[in-house]
Amino acid sequence: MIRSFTQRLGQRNPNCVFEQLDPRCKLLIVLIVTIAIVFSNSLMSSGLFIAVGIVALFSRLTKALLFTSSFWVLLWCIFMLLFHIVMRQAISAPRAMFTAMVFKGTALIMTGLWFAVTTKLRDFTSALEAWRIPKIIILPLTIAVRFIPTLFHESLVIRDSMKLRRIAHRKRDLLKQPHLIGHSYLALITIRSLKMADELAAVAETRGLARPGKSKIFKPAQFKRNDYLSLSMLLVLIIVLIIASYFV
Amino acid sequence: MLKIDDLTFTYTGHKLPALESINLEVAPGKLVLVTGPSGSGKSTLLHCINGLAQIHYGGKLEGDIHVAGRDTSGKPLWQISELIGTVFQNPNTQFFQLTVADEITFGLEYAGFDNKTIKDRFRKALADVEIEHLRNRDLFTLSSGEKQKVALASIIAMDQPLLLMDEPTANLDIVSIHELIKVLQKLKNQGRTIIISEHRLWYLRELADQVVVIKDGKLIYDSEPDILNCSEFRDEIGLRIWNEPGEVTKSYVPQNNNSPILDITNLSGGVGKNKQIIKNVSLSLKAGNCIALMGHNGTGKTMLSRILTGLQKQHKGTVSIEGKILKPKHRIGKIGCVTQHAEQQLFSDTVLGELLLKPNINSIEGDCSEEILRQYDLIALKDRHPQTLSGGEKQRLAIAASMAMNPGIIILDEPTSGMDMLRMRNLSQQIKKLCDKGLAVIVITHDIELVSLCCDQILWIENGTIAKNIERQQYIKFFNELIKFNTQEGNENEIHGCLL
Amino acid sequence: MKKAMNTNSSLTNNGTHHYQEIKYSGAVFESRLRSHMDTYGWSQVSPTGYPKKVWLDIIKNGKSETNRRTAYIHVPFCGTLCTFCNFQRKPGTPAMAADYAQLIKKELQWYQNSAYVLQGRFEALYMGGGTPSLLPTDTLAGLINIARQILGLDESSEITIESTIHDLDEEKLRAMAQAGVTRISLGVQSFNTSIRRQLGRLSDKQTIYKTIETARDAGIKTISADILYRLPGQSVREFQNDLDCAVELNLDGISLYPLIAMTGTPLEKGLKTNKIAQLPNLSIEMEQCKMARNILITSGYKQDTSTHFIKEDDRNLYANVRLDDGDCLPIGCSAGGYLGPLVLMNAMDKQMYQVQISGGKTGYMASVNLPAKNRLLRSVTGQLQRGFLNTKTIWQNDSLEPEKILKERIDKYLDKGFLTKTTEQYELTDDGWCWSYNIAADFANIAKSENSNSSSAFAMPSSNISGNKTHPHALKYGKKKNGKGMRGFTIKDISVLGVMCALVIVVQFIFAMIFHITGIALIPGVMQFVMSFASCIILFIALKKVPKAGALSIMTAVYSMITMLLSGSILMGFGLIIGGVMGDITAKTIGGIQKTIPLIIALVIYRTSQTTFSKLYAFITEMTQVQLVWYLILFSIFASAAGAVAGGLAGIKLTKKITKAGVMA
Repeated sequence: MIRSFTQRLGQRNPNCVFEQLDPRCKLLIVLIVTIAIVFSNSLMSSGLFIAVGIVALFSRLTKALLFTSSFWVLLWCIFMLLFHIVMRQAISAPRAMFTAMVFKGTALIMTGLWFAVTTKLRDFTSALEAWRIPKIIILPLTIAVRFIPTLFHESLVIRDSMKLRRIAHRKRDLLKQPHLIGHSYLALITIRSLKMADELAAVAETRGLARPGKSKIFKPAQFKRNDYLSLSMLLVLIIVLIIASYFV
Repeated sequence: MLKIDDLTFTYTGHKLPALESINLEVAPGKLVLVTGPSGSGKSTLLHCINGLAQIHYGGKLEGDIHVAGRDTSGKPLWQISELIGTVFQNPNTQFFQLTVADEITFGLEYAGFDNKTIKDRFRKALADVEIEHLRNRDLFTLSSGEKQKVALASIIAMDQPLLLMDEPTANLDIVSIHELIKVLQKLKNQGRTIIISEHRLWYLRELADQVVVIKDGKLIYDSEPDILNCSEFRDEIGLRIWNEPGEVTKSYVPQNNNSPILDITNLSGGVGKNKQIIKNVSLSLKAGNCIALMGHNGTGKTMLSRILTGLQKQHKGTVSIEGKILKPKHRIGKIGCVTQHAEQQLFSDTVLGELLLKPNINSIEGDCSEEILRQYDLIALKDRHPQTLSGGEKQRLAIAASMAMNPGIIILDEPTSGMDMLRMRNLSQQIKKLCDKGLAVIVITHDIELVSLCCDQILWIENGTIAKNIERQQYIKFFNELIKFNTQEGNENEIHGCLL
Repeated sequence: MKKAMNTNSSLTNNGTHHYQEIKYSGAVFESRLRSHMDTYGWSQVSPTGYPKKVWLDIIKNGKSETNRRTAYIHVPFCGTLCTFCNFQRKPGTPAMAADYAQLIKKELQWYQNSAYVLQGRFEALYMGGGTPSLLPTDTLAGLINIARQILGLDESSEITIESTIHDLDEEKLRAMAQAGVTRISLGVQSFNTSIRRQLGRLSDKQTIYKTIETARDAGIKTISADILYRLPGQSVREFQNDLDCAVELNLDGISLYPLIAMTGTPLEKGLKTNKIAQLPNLSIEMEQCKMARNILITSGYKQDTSTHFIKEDDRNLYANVRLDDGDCLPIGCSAGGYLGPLVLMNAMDKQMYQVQISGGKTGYMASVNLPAKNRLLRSVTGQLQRGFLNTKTIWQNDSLEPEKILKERIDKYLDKGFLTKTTEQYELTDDGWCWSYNIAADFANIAKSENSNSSSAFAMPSSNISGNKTHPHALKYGKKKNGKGMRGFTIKDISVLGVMCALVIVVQFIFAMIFHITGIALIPGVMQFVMSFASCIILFIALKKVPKAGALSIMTAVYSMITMLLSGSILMGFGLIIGGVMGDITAKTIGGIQKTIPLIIALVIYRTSQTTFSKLYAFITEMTQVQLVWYLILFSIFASAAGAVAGGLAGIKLTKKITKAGVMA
């Protein structure tokens, strides 16, 4: 699990076209798509759903796409069953709800996932720096992402130690003795985190990170041709969908 | 390059100084080894030089420190860091990024260099430390040795005149140490000045130009490395081996006629269904015996201990304790385990509370806990928070806490990494006491001195099975086979064994 | 003593001066050096030896080679900021300056009983900055009195204070005169009111005239003014007007400086963006320079140093002693000086200076021990800046042959007409005076050619490595803000915030996993409660460790960005940031985030906002058509708020527990 996390955020895949896009451009795309989804009617949302689906297929997110859509379909079915039939609460527009849930819901989630899967931490921080977000946010971001695997690993080790000492080692202890988890696990992991933070601060100081002044980004984020291309394609798509939805 | 004049340093809140009247001169291009018993002030000295002690940790510094002709007093840490680069002990808390390339360029970016300089320095750093093949690797998938090299590369890229290293081999195995020797030689040839604070001394035999010994905060030796050849000197200070393995005395444990307390038959296991790390291990252990499990990193020693303690399910085979075959979930708690990082095993608010944490059916309560603390020499600390204890005290407490569960068997995983001679001897005494009480002890270690002192048998693990079973009389021969001190550099294939 | 100048002026009938255009041909130098800092080539020495011992020796045992002593006190505060100034920005108030004056006093007292101070006589004291006149009257007078007593300055010593016009009122001037100030150096820059405004100066021409009069009345013996030329868009005629005003005022001393557009100043930025007219080209500048010499000399002034003209009442003692190999004792933050063979620098950073002084030390930061040749060159540049070069009287020792070392360059400048030879020495010609810094720098660079590995003694390491040239006297008032400053958060705080953010995510994930596995997640509200509890308990501890305003906003901003990276959910991201910022602001208004109750309220706000935004999904996907869903949403928001409160309360307990571990220091 740790490995997949770090691979997702660290390792670059040279084959993926979307990874070359500037994260700022992708963020804008996500924002525009979200707004479009929020205000769209059924035709637009189905159009967006298809567009998102195609992009997802190209980003190797097929499984996620299928899973998300089936989840929404299932949820809609449960809704219909539970409320419409059993509880007799009329749902005014079941078809609209279906479109909204399945199309809008999937499109929203898949756009987000597309962004998440194709953006690497380093590119993201470069983009943030290009937007002049101060060091005081970017540095903790880098530290936090880098520490998530470490703290997760530490949690597993602590859990093992707790098991060995027979502290809350059975599943039912979760309900019977939750305070033990708090006392033992939370206290220890917090202490360990704070100690690690202190060690990291010492390392950071000796690496000169407290230097006043600007840091020079090695590969600054830049809008390239592909970025403008994708943004324009998106805008065209949305305009087309808006116009089309007037005719239906 | 470095001149220290009459340095006295006291941490805030402490009455006694951590370092007293230290005078030291280091010429450019030399490699200096700073050593001494634990707690003597080696790390404090390094922290005073790089500014952490007085600025980050807080304390009163008297005296002068000049690096490259410049006085470091009064300068902010980031300015001092332009003269001094520090490589710390724990590779895990030294990194900021997720991949190797990002990590090395990270520091360069913050220094404000332009792109061309960053590229050149990046390439040079990779070449100097010989890790070009790791360029795009994920930091979390690297071994300890590779991580340490990446940390070194990211510091070297900053090109400071003075390099400090605080116990760089604490988490390394012998193969990695040999690679580190090569890298250090290369750096020395480039004219860098390096100061290394260490417990493990032998790998710097050919490299160190100057040896500084610190004891109780005072500098007691500052000259040629030859003095470390003298074993009386080393014993007096409590230093580890330098040029030859020590004597192995005959075992004092009489022949044991007890029945086996632990019986393992055809044990196989690993993570995931198809991956087998342990293959067909069989052994039996009698009460009162202590055996050592030795082997290279990655051969399955830790996996074996996890399976034995019940944290991991085995694929095949049985484990029986005191005659009863037990499933993993019933084994938990029957075998005590103390790992390398004792702080991950201490949960309570007070030392006494640690032993009273969760009474087991078999466990001991109340004043028996105080008795245990007395045995482990921790009674004076009974109201302290476990996380504020020193390394050795934490380890003793972890062992005591395991003992409070009344197990019949106890496993110690790498108990002596980073320990000096004195503490290692104390630990071996403790292990002997445990054996006298009737416990069976398994020690997973690389430390041949510990093994010589208290283990009756060595099991050499290779490829997940027990390859050799060595009795005490054969130790010397085995050690000499493993550790060829007289081997020429470059013949790494012959050096299989591990030290410390 | 100077021989007749080659003036090309002729008085016309109506009294105005006409100046023929002075042509100079054959550029000897590529560009003009305009600052005395450019002549410090002799100070570039490889760091060797331990000069601090030498310094201590001289101070404690009084062994200095020359008896001529001066002292310099630096006051790094300004009331208003000039556009051409490269000093770091934080306008100083008189109160700040007064606090700083206490540190100066302490440093002076450190030297009080030292042999060096007791054994020699100080000829001059110079107080520069910044704007020393910013100090309140009493503080200023008190400081001067103490300095006078400690340094043993008597009536024949010269005590100079740099001042602005607007700081000086009658009361202050009288107090200064009574305390012993004999000379003030006024930052006039120009008499032209509109140009003054452009440069950021305050007073107008009338005020200047009046102040000078008041100063004379108060008893200040010598009044000198700084005047700039080479100003943006300034013509020769406009500069001439300034000179005429100066002459009219019968100033005892006039310092003329060509404007330098230093990197990082508003002036430089304005020039780059063409908001300010361009600076005059070199020929106009040279014309201005030569014209100045002509006008002032005919008006009875003498050119004393490269930048300063004097009349009888201005001895310009401080500058002359310094340029004559004299010692200069530096007092104050980022003050520089000389002591025998040493070139000294005090702590550049004000905080560091304060730490050192409070710790009972002086402001000493670093020094360089000049080898013999460099000392010779220092002496050479000192003489050249005073208009002459005398190979017999420059500093030398037996190992050196000055004639040999300097011959090549002396011949070169004799050839070019910048030096002339008299019976005793060489002297600068008219042209030579206008290029005096270039000439001096050229001589100084004799030292550079031999020391290829050396680095400048006082170049801050950052200026070497990062390639950004900061002015050596550019001060740091605190954290330098470049839009990316740390805003009151230290590296420790940032690490804690980062690691605790990671912990929030990991703990939430683990709890989520556990609850999903055990199936409890299906109960509505429980997940919200537990997630909220988990995150708030950790946030509570993090904010107790870093109880600064803005910490919550930073943590939620980081959290939201990680959420973006992991799931791409922009709604949750928004919710987090808005919640965090609102929480922070609320906490600040009701008492500050250090206190428990505002902290818990902030956490509740943050968590509620997050849940609300994440429930927007239900709204967007029209699940809210079902009544029940509304109730579920409200219930989860409530559960989330309850979880936040519970988390906060549990956080109090947990904080107590871990405080004993010594990590909450």
